[in-house]
Amino acid sequence: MDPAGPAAARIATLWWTMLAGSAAIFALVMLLLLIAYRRTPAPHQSEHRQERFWLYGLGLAFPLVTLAALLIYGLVLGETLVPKSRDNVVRVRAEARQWSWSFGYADAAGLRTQGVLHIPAGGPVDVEITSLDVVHSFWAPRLAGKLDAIPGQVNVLRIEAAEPGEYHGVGAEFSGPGYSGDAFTVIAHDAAGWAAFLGRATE
Amino acid sequence: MKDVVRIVIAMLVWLALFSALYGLEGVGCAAGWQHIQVTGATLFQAAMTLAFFVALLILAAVLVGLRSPLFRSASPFIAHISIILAVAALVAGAWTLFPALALSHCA
Amino acid sequence: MNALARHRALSRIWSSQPGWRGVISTVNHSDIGRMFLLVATLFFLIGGVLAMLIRTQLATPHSAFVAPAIYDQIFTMHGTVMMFLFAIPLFEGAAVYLLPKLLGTRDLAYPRLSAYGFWCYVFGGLMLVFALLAGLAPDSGWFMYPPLSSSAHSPGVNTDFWLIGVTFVEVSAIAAAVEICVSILKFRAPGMSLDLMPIFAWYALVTALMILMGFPPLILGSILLELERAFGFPFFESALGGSPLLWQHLFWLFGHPEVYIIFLPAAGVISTVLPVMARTTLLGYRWVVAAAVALAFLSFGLWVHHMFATGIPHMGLAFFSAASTLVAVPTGIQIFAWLGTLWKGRPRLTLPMLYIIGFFFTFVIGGLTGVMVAIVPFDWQAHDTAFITAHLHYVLFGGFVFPMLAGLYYWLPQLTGRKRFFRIGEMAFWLIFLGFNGAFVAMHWAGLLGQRRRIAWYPEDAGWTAINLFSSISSFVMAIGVAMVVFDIALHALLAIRGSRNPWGAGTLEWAMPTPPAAYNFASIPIVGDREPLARDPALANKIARGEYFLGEPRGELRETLTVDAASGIPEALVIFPGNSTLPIALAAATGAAFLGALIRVYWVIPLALLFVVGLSLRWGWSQHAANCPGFQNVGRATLLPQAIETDRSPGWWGSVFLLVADTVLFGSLFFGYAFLWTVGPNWPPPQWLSLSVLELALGLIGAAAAAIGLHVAARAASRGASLWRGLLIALAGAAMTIAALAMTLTRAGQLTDYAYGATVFVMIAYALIHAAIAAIMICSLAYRTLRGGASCPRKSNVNIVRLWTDYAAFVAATSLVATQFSSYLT
Ligand code: HEM
Ligand SMILES: [Cu+2]
Ligand SMILES: [Cu+2]
Repeated sequence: MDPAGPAAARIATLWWTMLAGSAAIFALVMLLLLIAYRRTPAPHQSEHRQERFWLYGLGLAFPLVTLAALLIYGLVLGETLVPKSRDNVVRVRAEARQWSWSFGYADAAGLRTQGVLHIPAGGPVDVEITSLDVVHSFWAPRLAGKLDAIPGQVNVLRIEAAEPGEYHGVGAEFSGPGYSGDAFTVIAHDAAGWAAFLGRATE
Repeated sequence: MKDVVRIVIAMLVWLALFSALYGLEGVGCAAGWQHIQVTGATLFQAAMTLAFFVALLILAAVLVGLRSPLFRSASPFIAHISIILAVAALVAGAWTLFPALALSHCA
Repeated sequence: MNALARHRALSRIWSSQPGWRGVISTVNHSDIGRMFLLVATLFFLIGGVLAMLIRTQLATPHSAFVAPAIYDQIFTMHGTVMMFLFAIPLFEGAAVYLLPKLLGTRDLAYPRLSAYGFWCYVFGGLMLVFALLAGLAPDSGWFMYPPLSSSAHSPGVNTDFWLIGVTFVEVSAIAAAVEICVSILKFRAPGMSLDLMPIFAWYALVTALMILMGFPPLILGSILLELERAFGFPFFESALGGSPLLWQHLFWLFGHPEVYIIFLPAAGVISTVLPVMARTTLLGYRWVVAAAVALAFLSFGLWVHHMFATGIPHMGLAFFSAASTLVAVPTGIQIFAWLGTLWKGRPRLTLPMLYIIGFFFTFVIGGLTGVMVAIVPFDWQAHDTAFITAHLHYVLFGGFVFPMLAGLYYWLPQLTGRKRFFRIGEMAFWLIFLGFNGAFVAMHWAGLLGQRRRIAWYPEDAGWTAINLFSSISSFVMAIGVAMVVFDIALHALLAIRGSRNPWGAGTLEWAMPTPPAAYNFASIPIVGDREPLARDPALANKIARGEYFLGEPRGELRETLTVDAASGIPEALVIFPGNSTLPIALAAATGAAFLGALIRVYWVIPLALLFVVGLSLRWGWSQHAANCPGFQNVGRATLLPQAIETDRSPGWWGSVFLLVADTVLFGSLFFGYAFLWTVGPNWPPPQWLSLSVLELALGLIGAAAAAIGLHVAARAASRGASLWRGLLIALAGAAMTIAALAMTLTRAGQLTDYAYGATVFVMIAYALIHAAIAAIMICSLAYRTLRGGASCPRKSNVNIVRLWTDYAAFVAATSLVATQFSSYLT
């Protein structure tokens, strides 16, 4: 929850919004529960009127409205996060196995790095994720959400680091006894550093 | 037994339609419908949109059916519950399937 | 006959044998229910000890308490034990024990089936306990994702224990679910129409239906995975046309409904207990029933929310995200109905109520975090972190354990006939409540900071050390609370003084009997005209004991009760139950032997065991009809009713219908798997399709039609009282043709280990073949009984049952032949 890229940042905002809303709803329910014990019941309220208030009002209308708003927020956000156009996007490849990660680069054929993924900072990067053995998941929490590495399938995750730096990443789907230590690093370079990194490959 | 069917039918139909649309989406993407153009939209869009409205139509038909004297339960209790659930199924249809109209395809 | 004499006579008729013989031969629902509850509680304690081991491991960074290989077994078994061996069986136990008492009848529909289910559960549970003690426990997490759980990556027997043990336990759940459905629909007090049913019965009915629809996908998945592990059928192997995602779909198709299968009974307990504690009636009964039904169905449309991170297209995810938010609405309706009930009445702060307040506090939090993870982008971050662990415990512990503890303290006086004396329960509540919240609030936070679930250790510099230590300490506080509850109950059962009948002033029928209850429940079967019959007529209990209602005069040594019309509750027939029997435990043992054979891969055991299963089942079925048919009988209050097995739709017919619902879902899941691999499986098409054989197709389709027509003819003959022979012979010929056609197709399925397509075709045809064989055996059995002349009396109902199974077999044979034979034309 310390975002360092647009995807992670927008998800963090989503979280704080939901937390505030949830806290309010939780407080409301607890308050209603408390009042039930504190009040003297109004005599002879018709059952029908009570149903209207509790079931139509609080049970139906209230959640429907809140949830509709939240759902639309979530879907719109989701749309912005899925990789659509592939122009001007750096493409890298991540291959998971028990228990290490190896990375390849579309801009430098033949270049492979083990345990360290290099990306340019300040622009979108599509990570093509797959697995050589069991199901794993690619997760660099400060850059974006996670996406599974599944054998026989390639999944594309869009990540972006706003600033150059080193970011922590882990395999995030249980993958056997070595799972706890299954980690990698993402290094985001500035433009010069990225060029130098790619240049190293062609040497 | 018939009353039990009256209670479960609407939501069961919703479940079937929901699964069908999800399946259609899978089939459409697998068959590459998003690349086929038909009069301004892709075949994929057209199919999903059509399926959405057909689904709502079916759910509305269930609702009308359960209200009509032909299928309505003799027990007011069952009749009431089955109609609540038919409305719920219709709302659930619109609520859960509307992404078929709007969202990005196969990505 | 006075009340005491009646009590003595009925007790003699209904009692189980003394001592351990009673344990293995009892079929009485109160006994079976108590045994279920006891064993489920033991498993809760086992699961709890495992949870403490988990928290010990995670209390400190770089923990060396146990090695990852062992730790993986511990958390996998914790999840497995809690979900399969504690939560579901606890519901079954509560339902088995309570339902006949709530519904005003003397036993469940199939007493021997309850016993069979119980023993399957015990034997399956023992397999898993053995694995745990031997250090061979499953270790791929409770959802067992392949390829991690495939033989290449989990070569040991660990995973097999899971697949086979859990499937065995699920057989017991299916048995219980059939039992519960039929009992609720048919075995009620006269006059109890559907709208007068106690609300718990509605919840139990919905839950049982969900089990019938929810468990078959996992049973299928387990069979497929075991076939892959044992014989190399590559269903989940992407290189050979299978897909690891197929397992995930099948698992979560079960797994999500499972969560609501656990929650709904607990909601039923709340809907029962809370109004009594508020000295009023439930607000919006109809709405609550509708909400439960809606919840049940919606929960089948959510399964992909466990797969948001698997790379499914966003539109697909959006369907499930929308459905997952919508499911909060019926949940909200129930919550607000309960709050409204409290406002409507004058609530008391008793111990059960304290636990219900604990429920409100925790479950609302769990529900809110549930809505959060239903939102796709948030789930991409939260998925597989400690946030999810925290969320799921808020839902499962808050939504199941708290209400069940409320129910325990509520029904304890009914169960034991004693009054709670020691005040340990209140203190235990506070320890559990505070401990639980401490332990799991912290885990939300750790998850947001990036702590993954299922890790065996974490580095010091991760910054989670204090959070985890706090969580571990809190969970030990909770454990002390749980231990105190156990102690409290033990003291209560041993020492407490006799209490009054109906201490809470409840209105439902389980309180209209002496406590602890007698084996026969009701000395006469009451007439019900109200949702709370006891509240309307406080003298009801005495009238029942005096035999004023139905079946008040015991006849011979017969265990008797009534069935009613499902909707209106008008009495329909007289039921005579079977007595004590060791047949259920023997059948469970034979079933277990088949599973064991598969587990240790000594395959010749399986056909042998199945032979026993078939033999015992036939004996079971026949012994049901030993009685001759006396026609209409006097059931008291000047009412004449036929015997249930003489009616067109006997209890056996009803049970078959519900069992076939589960079977149909299994077949549907298989069909889904076939279509799934076809459309999204990587590396298709297969090297070779099954070619069309007109001979097989024609033979199979004509045979299936002949079998169905044959039984139609036989059924017509049975209602006219004519000879069954013509129909049975046609049916038998049809079944033989179908079997031949399917067997021929089966041999052409190809090299099964080479490609998932051939393996799937094989399984589909084999499924149809098994059903054709079952139908053939039933037809033969009917023919044999006709030959001996014994079938002359309950003939109609038997023919109807066989017809149901034959029609289903014919449908399955036709569908799977068509679906496979045309393969090569479909692409
Ligand atoms: C008695 C108090 C309990 C405690 C202290 C406890 C603790 C835990 C912990 C710490 C984990 C997470 C392990 C990890 O992934 O890092 C876990 C997992 C789990 N627990 Fe519990 N738990 C308790 C009760 C329950 C109950 C009552 C249920 C269900 C009815 C349950 C179901 C599960 C499941 C399904 C998992 C996931 C297992 C897996 O990841 O394979 N737990 N529990
Ligand atoms: Cu995952
Ligand atoms: Cu779920």
